[in-house]
This record gives sequence, C-alpha cells and structure tokens, in this order.
Amino acid sequence: MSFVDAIRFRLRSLLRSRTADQERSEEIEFHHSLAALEQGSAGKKKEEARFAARREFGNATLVKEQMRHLGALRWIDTTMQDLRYGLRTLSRSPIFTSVAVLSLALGIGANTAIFGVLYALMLRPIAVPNPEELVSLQRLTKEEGAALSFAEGEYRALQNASGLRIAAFTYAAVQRLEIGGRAPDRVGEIQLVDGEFFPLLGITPVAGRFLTSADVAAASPVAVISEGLAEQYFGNGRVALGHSVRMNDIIFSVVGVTSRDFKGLKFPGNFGIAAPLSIAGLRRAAPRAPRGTPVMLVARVKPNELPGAQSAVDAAFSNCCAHGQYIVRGDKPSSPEHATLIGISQGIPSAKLDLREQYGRVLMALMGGVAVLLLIACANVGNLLLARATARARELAVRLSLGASRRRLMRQLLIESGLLAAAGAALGLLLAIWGTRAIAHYVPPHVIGPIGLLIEVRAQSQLLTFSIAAAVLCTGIFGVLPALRATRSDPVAGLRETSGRAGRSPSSGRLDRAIVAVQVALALLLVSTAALLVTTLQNLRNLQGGFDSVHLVVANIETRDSPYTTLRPHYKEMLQRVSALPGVNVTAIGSTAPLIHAGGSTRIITVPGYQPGPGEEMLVHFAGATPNYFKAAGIALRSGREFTDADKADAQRVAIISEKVARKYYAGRDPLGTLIPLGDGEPMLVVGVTADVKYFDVRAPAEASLYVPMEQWEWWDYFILVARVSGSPNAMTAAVRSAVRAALPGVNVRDSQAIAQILDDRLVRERLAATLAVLFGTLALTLAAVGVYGVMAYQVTARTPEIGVRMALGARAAGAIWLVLRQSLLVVAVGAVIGVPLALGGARAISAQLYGVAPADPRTLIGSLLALFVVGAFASVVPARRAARVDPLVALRAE
Amino acid sequence: MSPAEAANSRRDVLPGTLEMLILRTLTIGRMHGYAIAQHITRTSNDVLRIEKGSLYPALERLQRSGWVTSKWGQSPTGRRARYYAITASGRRALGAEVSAFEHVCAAIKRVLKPT
Repeated sequence: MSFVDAIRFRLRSLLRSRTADQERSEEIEFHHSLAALEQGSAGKKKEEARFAARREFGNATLVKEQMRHLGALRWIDTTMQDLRYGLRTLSRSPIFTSVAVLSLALGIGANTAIFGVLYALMLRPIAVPNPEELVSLQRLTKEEGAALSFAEGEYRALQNASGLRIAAFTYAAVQRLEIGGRAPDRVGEIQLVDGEFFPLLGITPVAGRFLTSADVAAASPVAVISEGLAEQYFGNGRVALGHSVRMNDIIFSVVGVTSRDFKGLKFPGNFGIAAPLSIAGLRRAAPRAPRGTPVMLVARVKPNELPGAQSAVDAAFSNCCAHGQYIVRGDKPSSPEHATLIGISQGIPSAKLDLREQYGRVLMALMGGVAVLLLIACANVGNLLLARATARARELAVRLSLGASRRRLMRQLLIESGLLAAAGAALGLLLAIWGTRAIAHYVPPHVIGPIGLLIEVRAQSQLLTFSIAAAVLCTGIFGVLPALRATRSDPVAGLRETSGRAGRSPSSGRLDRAIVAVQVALALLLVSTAALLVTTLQNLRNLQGGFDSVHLVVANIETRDSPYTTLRPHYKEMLQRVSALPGVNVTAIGSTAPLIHAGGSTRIITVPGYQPGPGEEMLVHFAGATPNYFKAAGIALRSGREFTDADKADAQRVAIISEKVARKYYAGRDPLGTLIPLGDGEPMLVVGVTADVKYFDVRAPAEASLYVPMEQWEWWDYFILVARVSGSPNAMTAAVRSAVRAALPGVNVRDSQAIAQILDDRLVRERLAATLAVLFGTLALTLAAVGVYGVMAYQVTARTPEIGVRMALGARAAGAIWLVLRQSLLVVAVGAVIGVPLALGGARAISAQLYGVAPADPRTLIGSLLALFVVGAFASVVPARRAARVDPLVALRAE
Repeated sequence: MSPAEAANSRRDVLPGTLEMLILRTLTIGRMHGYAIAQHITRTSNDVLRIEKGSLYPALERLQRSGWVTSKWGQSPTGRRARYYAITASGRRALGAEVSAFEHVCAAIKRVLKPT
C-alpha cells in the first residue's frame, strides 16, 4: 500500500501544486497560531507572541519551498514553472512573439506541405496489412521488355506449380455504366478479380463482404464498390448493400464496400468497382491472346522468403509459360521469357503515368527549397532572440546574482524558444493543411489530374511527427546560440548598465549582421532558382510545335472493345457529321496529331539519289493522313499539294514529306515528283512538302516526317480526329465528342480536347515548380527584408548617441541616412558573396528541370542580386529615416 | 550558503532520528504537526526541542515514503488542521529503525564506557 500512497501523494502535489501550496500555508499558519497561543499563555503580549512564534519557526517561505521540492518530482515542477514564466514573458511582447511565430509557421508550414506530398508520392505504402509482403509477377520478354500480364491459363498453372498464394485481377472494359440508376462521370478503376484477390490483400470491408471464390466460380453478378462511390450514390456504405450497379447491361448487386483508404494496387490508384473475373461481359476482347484475357498477378511473400519463392516461380514459369510461342501483346514470338517477383509495397506504378518518375525530382528540389526557407526563418527568429537577450540582459543579470544557476537560465531561454517553435509548428501544420486544400481547390481537377489524388494532406501522424521534428530542429538552430550568449554575460556588468540600448558587445553586433548575411545568401539561392524556373516555364510556353495550335480540337477514336473491327467504311460519314457542327471549319483524321504522343511510327526509308553514310539510318516519323489533314491540323504546306480523295487505295501511291526530309536527303533538289520506295508495294510519288512539326516532345527538335494517305495503308482500328474550329476550342470539345458518338455508336472516343489545353496541361509540373518556387522566393525575400530591418533598427538605436554627436558636429541628415544604408548594403553584399556560389550550386542541382536557360545564366543571377539589393535598401529606409531625425540634444542628454 | 545546503545542515542535527520520533509519536494516535512537536518536547522533558522548520519537511518526506498519511480535519479550537496518522508500513519501518537505533546506541555506549 505504501507505494501506492507515495505515488498518489506525489501526483497530487504535482497536479495541484497551487492547492498544495495553499494547504502548506494554512498548515504553517495554524502552527503559528497555536504557538502564539502558548506563548501568550506564558505571559507575553499578543503581537510579541506572534513574532516570537514566527521567529522560532524561521523562514516560512523557505520551509514551504523545501516541502514543495520534497513533494513533487522537482524537475517537472521547475519545468512547469519555466513554461508558465516563458508564456508570460512571450505574451508580454506580442509583436516579437507574433513575428517569430509567423516566420516559423511559414517555414514549417511550407516544409510540412511539401513533405506531405512527397510522402504521399514516394513513401506511403498502399493501404493493406503488411504491404511489404505484396509482390507482383512481372514477365520479362526479349521484345516487349517488362510486362505485367499473364494469360488466365498461365495463372492457374503458375498457382498450382509454384505453391505460392497468387491472386489475379484485370481491368474491365465497361462502355455503359449506371450506379444506382445514374450514369456517373468518374468512377475510378473497374477491376475484375478472382476469389483469392481480397483474401490475399487482407483488407476488411467497411460494410458487407468481399468477393469469394464461390462468386467467381458461379460468375455471380455481385460487385464490391469503394466507400467514395457508396457515399456519392447511396448515402453510405451500409445503405449501398443490395443496390445495383449496371455495367454493360449486366446488373450487379453490391455486396461489399471497401474502405476509403484502399486505393487499389496501382499507383496512383483510384479503386472504384470490383466484379468477379469470370463475368465474360466485362472482359476486354483480346483477339491476339488465344488463351484468354490477360490478367495481372499479385502474391504475398514474406521478404525473407523471397529467394525461395523466386526459384519456385522460375521453375513453374519455365514449365508452363516460357515456351516462346505465346505472346500477350506485340507482334513477334517472344522466346526467352522469365518471370520475376517485384515488391509493390507502394503500388504498381502506372505504365502511362509514372508520377514518381515525373514528380520525384521536382518535389525533392522543392523540399530542398523549403528547407532553405526554414533556415531563413530560423535565422530571423535567432536574430530576434539575440536582440531580445540584450534587452533582457538586466533581468538575466538579476536572476544570476540572486543565485539562479546558469543552467536554469539557459533552460528558461531554451524553453521560450521551444514554445515559439511549438506555436510555429502548430500554426504551420494548419497552414500546410489549409494551403494544400486551397491548391487542390484552386487548380481544376483536369489540370492537377493524378497529383490531385495525392493532395490529401490530413493531420496524419507522419506529418505531425515531421512538424514536431522541424520544431525541435528549429529550436536547436535558433535557440542555442542566443541562450549561450545571454547566459555567458557578466551579471555585474549587466546590473551596472542603466540604459536599455547599450550593453551589447561589438562582437554580438557582428554576429547578428553575419546571420542576416547568411539569410541574404539563402534568399539569393531561392530567388535565383525561382527565376530560372519561371524562365523555363516561359520558354516552354513559347515553344511552338510548328503548327497552329490555337483553334484545334483533337479526339482519340478507337475500335478496341467496340462493335467495329475497322473504321475504314465509317470515317467519311463521321467527318461529315463533325464538319456540319457550327463553328467547325475543317476536319480530317490522321494516325497521329502533333504533340499527342499517339499513333505514328518510325520507318527507315531510302531516297533515290541519296547515299547514306556508313551506319546512317534514314529514320523518318511515319504517319497516315486523310485529305485536308494539314489544313485542319494547321501544318503549313511548303510546296505541292495535300492528299485528295483521288488518292484512293488503287491509285498511284503518294507521299508527302516534311521540310527536314527534303533538307536532309534532297540537298537542294526538288523532291516533288521523286519516288520513295517503302514496303512491298510500288514506290510512292512525293506530291508535297510540309513545314516541320514536332510530334513527340516539344523540347526536342522536330522529326523528319513522311505522310501517306490512310486510304492506301492498313491503319484503321484507331485514329485521331483533328478539327479546326473558329470559336473557343474548349467550348467545342463536347460537341465534337457527341458528334463522333452519334456517327459511330459504341466506339471509344477519348480525350476530346483543345490541343492548346493539352499542351498547357502538359506543363503542369513546370508550372507547379515555378509557382511554388516564386512563392518560396517571395517568402525568402520578405523574411530577409525583416532580418535586415531588424538589425538596422537595432543598429540605429544602439548608435543614436554616436549619430547625435555626429549631428552636433555638423553632419547632415543625408550623412546619417548613408551611415545606415551603407551598413545594410554591406550586409547584403557579404550575403551576395556567399550566396552566388550557393545559387550556382543550386542551379546546377536542378539543371535537369531547366529548359532554354543555362544554370549559370548571368541575367538571372544579376537580376536576383539586384532584387536583393533593392529589398535590402528598402528594408533599411525606415531605420535610416529614424537616424536622420535624431535630435543631437536629445541623444546627448540621454547619455 | 544556498537554501538547499541550509536545509541539509538543519536536518543533520538529529540525523535520521526525527522521522523515527515522529513515527513513534504517531503510534499514539492521529495528531496535527504542532501536537507532534509538543508531544516530543514534553515527553523528552524539554531536552529535544524540535526545529519546527524541519518538522514539516520531515512530515512531507514521511508521506512521500508512504509511512504517514494525512487528512484535513477540525481542530478542537474549530480551525482546519492537517492530521497525520501512521500507516502499517510506517509501523514496520518504525520497528526496524528503533532496533537499528538501539543497536547503534548500545555500540556507542560501549565505546564511551571507560574500560
């Protein structure tokens, strides 16, 4: 019992130290009164008796203090005291506190926000138990490289032979979809899974159950939907159960709902609906896959058992699947195949859109930028603390001479810094959450696209940990030095000082200017980097693909999973319908369109009269087009003619070349009328020469292109519609899409968009980087300006007597202004000297993100330097004017 | 002299025995601090005058060890007073302390006795 009693006693005195104090006073007072009574009965007067009793008792406060130290854990008690004292001190100087907290909040907030996105992108595992055990089976073929798909027959064989837990899933082909009677706009991924899939993942449904092997064996029309869909269409997960989802005219009953955290196995994933793998009506038609729909395989293997599992897969794969004949995709037999297990704890990266690859480096660079920003903020707070320590020198000296230990004072100062950092971190966390929400809100979803999936910075424990770590780090950076300096001071000197403005040794003045110089250097780094990124964005925006992209709408049309095998008989009717739309001037189709990243291929040609050098391959970008293609796409015709309706399949084979081909292979000769042999048929007659156009990469030089009439080639299961419009192209995209749908019911029309919009969207990454860099650069400049202002204001205060003497001796106001301005420009100059190599280093680190501007671009650097000097001068205007207004009489009298 | 040092020297006047005396006194029954001091002074025929400034810290120490508990109650004069009582473990500790003290006392006496 005694142990429990003792603990209770300590706890009570710790938690209720105020009441405990009162009780002690009361007890001692009681003691006094009894003692006084006794003395009184011994014949003394009342007053005298009370004094005698007190005398006998000794120092009551001291006794209480001793009792208190015995009662509680002394360390915690004094820390609480320091905390309370720190809070009081900080609240007494609200301007200092708010400037410090705000600086830190900006720094920590920016860091937390970027870290949040970086975490979601690079580090966050997928939301299943033990994600490190999840592996995907990847087959490596000579021709195709890595591929994830297996035939269903192979899946069973692998499952049986390897003895591993393997599950299969694939993406469904859904043309018509209704959820709860409504046609949704965005559903996320629709997956077909086998019975092993959900048990293998080990996740639990928020409502209902997941799909089982029985469902798959019976091909039951049941489906699992995401919590997001359930809430959107049915209210919540529980209500959704039993409702129907209609896909391709099959009615599925919702039996389960996945939790919001589960985003599917892809990264970036957006899981929507899962249905049994055995439902034939949802499978992609795979005419070239004789063994059935390709599926993706995932398995669970403990990391230490991976080598064994790999050899089991090797053995099983060579028996069942690596026979060199079978191919899932591609044209040629792929012989030396093997399968590897690759970890997918962070999801299967999307083949089309590898966010980690695209954004990883940019975000790392931004992370570096915000770290620098945080350093600047810390330097600001450190400087403020230094100035404050001077102002508090008397207080500290008094405490030292009254017997406070240096350690206690040091702890007091560090606790105050810690309080500032904690407040900054808390506010910063809010700023980060609010800021990323604002970004997600402000940037339209089609622009931010997949990145939008990542911007869900909630108060996750990782973010919390990060901001706490940042706060601790900040305290270390800005708190320790001022605290050391403040407690090192000599109490006698501190007490002797009477005026508030003196009392700082010259060396501490140098220290604060050095800190500001470092701030300036870091700001230069951020500003010049931002300038480089902005120049890059402008350069990219100004890039032309060599065609008129302003009034152009494009749409991808393909027959995959549609009632059509070829679009050859149908395209003319479709073109008529689209041309009939008001506002559409001319339309055509081609196998590709400029800068669309689709269609087109590369061929090797020969040109009569041109002898290729040794090892030279005459590569051209090879594309099909219909009549009016060049007019519609806005590609200028340099000579000759466009394709016409006369260029039929049985007519003379013709071709159009781009200027680059003419330049490279004709060397001044007229290409028109020459014959270019290609493939098995008769040679093609060159009938036209067009401008050079960029097809793949706007940053690369234009391709040498060779165009042929689509009518003369087999090219008909997909194409791209190009439509030149007269109004706003963005307004036309929907009309174009529905006209195509009306002409070709059931065909896939994707990405009907204005090409200008597509090009703009493609710069999202650059725009994101430039916008954030400008934001951080501006913050850095502001913080540096605050730093310069603070130091200069302090200098003016400290040197008021000196300035007064100068004025009295005949110096003019301009002289005083120059005195201050010179100081501030000197600080900026020192910062610039440190900052230039920093900026150059930073620019080299991000050189991969730059376009059309050298990392060491002198204009950028000089501009940034100029900006810093201007800001430095502006920041010292107020202190300089104060210096100019110094009244020599007042200044001297104060001495 | 720092406050802490002062406190130590005062406690050193009767090293370790003040607690023992308090515990022994409390075996009579619940009493407040003043009564404890009075009792010790009186029963020792005024030889042992308790430094009152060390009485209350000693009581805190005893509570911290769990040998003594306290409770606020009404004094005969009608004022609120803190009454202390010895716990079972306090009694055990008292037994151990007393026998150790007697052991030491006997030893000291033997040394002091002229041979």
